[in-house]
Amino acid sequence: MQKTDKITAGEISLTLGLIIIFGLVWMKWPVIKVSSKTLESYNLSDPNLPSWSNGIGLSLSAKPVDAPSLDAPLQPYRDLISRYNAYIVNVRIEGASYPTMIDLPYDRARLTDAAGREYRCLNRSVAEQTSDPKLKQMLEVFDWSIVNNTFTKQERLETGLLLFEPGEAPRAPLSLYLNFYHHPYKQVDIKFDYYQSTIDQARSH
Amino acid sequence: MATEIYNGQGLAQAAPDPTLAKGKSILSRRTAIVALVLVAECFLLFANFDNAYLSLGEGNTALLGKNVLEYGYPRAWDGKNLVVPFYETTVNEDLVWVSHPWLQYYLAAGGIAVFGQTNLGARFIFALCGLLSIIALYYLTLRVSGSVRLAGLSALILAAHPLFWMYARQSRYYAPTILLMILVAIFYLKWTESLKKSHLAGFVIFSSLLFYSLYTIWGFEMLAIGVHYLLFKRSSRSMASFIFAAVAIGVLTLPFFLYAPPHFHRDAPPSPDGYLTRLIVHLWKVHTLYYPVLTLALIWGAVAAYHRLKGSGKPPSALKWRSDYWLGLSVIGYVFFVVLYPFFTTHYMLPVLPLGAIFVAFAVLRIREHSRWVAAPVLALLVSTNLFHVLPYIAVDKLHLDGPVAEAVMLNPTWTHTPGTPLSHYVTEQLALRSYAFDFLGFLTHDYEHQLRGVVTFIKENTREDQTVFVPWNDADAIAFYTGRKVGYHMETSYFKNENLKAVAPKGDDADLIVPLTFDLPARYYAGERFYSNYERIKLPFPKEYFETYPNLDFFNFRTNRQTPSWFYVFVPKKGGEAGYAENR
Repeated sequence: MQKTDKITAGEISLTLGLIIIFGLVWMKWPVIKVSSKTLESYNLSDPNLPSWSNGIGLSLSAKPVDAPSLDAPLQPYRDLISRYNAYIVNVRIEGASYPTMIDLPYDRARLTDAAGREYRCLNRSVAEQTSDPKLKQMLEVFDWSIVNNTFTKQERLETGLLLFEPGEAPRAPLSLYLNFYHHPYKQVDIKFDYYQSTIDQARSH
Repeated sequence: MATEIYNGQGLAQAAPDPTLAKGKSILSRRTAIVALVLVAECFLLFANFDNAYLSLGEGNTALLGKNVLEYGYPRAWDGKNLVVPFYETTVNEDLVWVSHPWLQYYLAAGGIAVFGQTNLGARFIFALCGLLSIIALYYLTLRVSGSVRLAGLSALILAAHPLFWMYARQSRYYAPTILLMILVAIFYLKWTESLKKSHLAGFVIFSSLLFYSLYTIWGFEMLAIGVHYLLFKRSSRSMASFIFAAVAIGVLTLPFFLYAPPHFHRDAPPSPDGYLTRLIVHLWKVHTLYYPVLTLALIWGAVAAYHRLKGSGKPPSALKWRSDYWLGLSVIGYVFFVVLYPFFTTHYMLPVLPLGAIFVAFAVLRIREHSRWVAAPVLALLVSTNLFHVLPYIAVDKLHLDGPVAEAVMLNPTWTHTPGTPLSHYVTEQLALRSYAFDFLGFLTHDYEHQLRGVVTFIKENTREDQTVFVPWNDADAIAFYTGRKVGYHMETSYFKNENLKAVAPKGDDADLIVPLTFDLPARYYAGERFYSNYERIKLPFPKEYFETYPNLDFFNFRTNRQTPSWFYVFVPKKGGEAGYAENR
């Protein structure tokens, strides 16, 4: 510093002015994401079982199910499932040294058809009506957070059943919207489209 | 303003600036600025303590502080609750907490004695230490550098640092450590100049207190002071006093060190394995969350190079290197040492805060010597945005530098207890331009809803004092502190050798209220038959957001999280069951 190097009003004004401008920017855009890249991707190679991955160990897939094509654990619920638009959703978190935790709330899951009709998720009401603990578990498993165990590096796989209103002759494609929160990073919306052939295929098996 | 030079005795005007009024008006203007900064800082450090509840470490300090009032020492078991042991050896055979030095527990006890078992009680004295740290840093920098301007800017940069606000507001050893680090250096330097007994006594007392706050940085500060004394301040007149001080500090600290030597998690002892990785992560933590030293150095170098190319030459500088700056090596030594510990928590770099403030102020003033019109926006960007902090990561993304080399030298700086996500995830998902300072102001001035608040409120309103609650272990101490209920939590005790600890450790998860949020269990555990049969579920309308967020900037939300589910369940025994919640409603 030089002896006559006094701090000027201009410097102070510029500093404070910029801070105020940054504050105004913050009020409009509190977080400005920098990268336009993403690690996330869809895998649609199996139209009956589209999946989504975040690129670091989390993947979700969903399969439409119909009474004739039920896997063994669902066989006892054939009648029930036949009354709904039903989907099996798999959440898989690979074992890793870093935690991955998600919450997939039922009240944010949606099903729509090509005509724009929306079919409500009925897991809550169906679960309340049943006294079958296994069925309850399949209908309510996503009420609980899903997390891999970071200390033992164990993976986690959870499978749940989503039941939507049956509707009348829904028009393909049916779109399943899943919204989940990846702690502590962000909310993620994913969409799986099921075309008529896929739905038919599911129902014909 | 003229350049003010501190000569060790008081301020001397090197050359009065004829364009300014007399010294008195300068002083009054300076006084007004200092008063303004301190008033603003009081708001930042003391306002709205109830907005975020005690985090894991704070809950530990607060609950042990409460026990200090009862027993006179930090006893982990109070006959009702066991302070959550981080690992078996955090508690000794007498159930005394021995894995952390005790100053923080006595400070918490002081606040709780005055303000009760509240956030204010738990946090007040720590925030006060934060406030005093700013004043202390001013005087330390003034003494070390002789520059009022550097001292003022250093104090301002610390006072304006959102990470400092965050740490200083917590009932944890953070703010006392910063304050004591500074006071130790001040009193040592004062003593070397005056050789007064009162200064030596201050040095001994504050050194001992620093030991009882965080003995890792204490060790390095003592080492740095010892070397500094021998190299620069040694004299036959002072040697006996210095030796006396060293012995006195040893007498005041060694017994505790023998009683409670360092303890570590059985699975995570200090280790050279992975040292380099941890060092890299912590250095990037310093850059992205503390001070952007690399970016600043580059700006400083660029400005200097530009002026050299222009033929302007090197401007004269009042900021000269002085031998007292060598004391800063204590912090650098600490950083390189502490990463032996195999965790990645951001607050391990805490001692960087005061030293970094001096470095940043130094760099800004050196930049200003080349161009005040560069320095002004640099300062504005520094205190109100994270642009400089994350600039290297932005370069990786925008210049497509991601690859094996980048992955080797630039890791994700948000790793916490365990290794975090890969660099690619940080760059594509977490990297963002933001203003932690304004985020923090928003946090202080808006209601912040969170899971722990919901749980505590529910317990207070819906359970009796003699009832038991079972909660996630990371919130257990805080819930015991706020509610006074008997609090159970999950703890694996099968490998414990400490039978006394085993005897009082919580067992099972049956309780009058269960908060089923946990990291450790498969989702289907709570969707099992036992819970359907014996418990009813109650929805609490608070965000289901329970990542440990408060202690660090890395993941703190600052505002109520609306993206996570807006409710979560708690369990209460069904009517007719063993517990009394149902009758209590």
